[in-house]
Amino acid sequence: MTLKDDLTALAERGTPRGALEVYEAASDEAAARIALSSIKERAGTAPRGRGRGWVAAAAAAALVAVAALGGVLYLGDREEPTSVASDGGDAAGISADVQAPQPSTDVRPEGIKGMEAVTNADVTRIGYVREDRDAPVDDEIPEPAPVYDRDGNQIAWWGYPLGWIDLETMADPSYDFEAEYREYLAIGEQIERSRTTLPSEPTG
Amino acid sequence: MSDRTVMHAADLSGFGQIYPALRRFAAVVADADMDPDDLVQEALARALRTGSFQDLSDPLAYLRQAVLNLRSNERRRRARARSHRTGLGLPATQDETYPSDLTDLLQLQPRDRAVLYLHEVEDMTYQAIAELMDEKEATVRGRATAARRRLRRGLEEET
Repeated sequence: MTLKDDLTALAERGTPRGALEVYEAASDEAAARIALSSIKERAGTAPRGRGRGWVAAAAAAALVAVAALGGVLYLGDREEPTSVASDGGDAAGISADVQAPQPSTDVRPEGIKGMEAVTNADVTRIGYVREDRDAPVDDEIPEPAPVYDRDGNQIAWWGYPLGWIDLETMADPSYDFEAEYREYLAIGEQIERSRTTLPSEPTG
Repeated sequence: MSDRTVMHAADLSGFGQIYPALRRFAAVVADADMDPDDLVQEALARALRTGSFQDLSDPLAYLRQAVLNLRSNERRRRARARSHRTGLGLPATQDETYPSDLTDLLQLQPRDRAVLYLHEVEDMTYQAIAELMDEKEATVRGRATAARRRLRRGLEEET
């Protein structure tokens, strides 16, 4: 074996995922980060809607697309996927007049047994949501589930399909989860439609 | 068809053309237990966060450079992930073994592997590699020489 042979063998190790899968995952990853940056921005001083261009809208859409397809939230690196909640609590919907939910009084199971690990968008925080959340019901808006730290303190909310929502964001009177959910879902459906038609369409 | 759909299709088509070469390059610079596609995906994601794929004047060169730069970030990220995984009672690492020749290659610095690969397999000149890696040509030549010397030493020790 020559050096060139060895290098070629190294270059061809493993099974490639393929351009389409990698592109869409990268697109979703970029989109998710942009979308969640937008959420963080709103949690700060920015008025609702500021800084939202088409990229952010596409970002939100792709985030929905991933979650709707049973996507995964990767914990740190992608070796051990942690399933994103296809969930959302009792699926009873959120009353439009409830603008600032209080931290949950739900009792967390002992330890992290029965809990599902989730992280925020940039993987700087980790928390746990109950695995036994009720499944979402079609056409109903899932209620965000509390995210706990290891000591049982609620540190965030987990809202399908947005993922991690900071307590401050949820408590912000201008933040409307229901509107956000509907917006994400609508754009996500558009993106999904465009994706399903792309392979057969001419590009030139 | 909307403008965005056309742009998406063009981006995807463009990426599809460079993906095989980019993936091979990522496989060379990544550690043995790294998924090369993870590096490719993250490099592309970074590019897409700042604009369209079509905005890149030389996508392959840009993404190769991004893959190289991200590789060090990847190590830090993986270290952080290992601590998370340990906390969750999950296996800390994945074991992946390779024949000794590949093991020797994997013990080189990723940038040294990149130089050898681009020169030996892709027939790139040292000047072109230097531009891609944003280093001086002399540095790149030095990397190649040192890497070959180290590989020879490893071979002699084995025999």
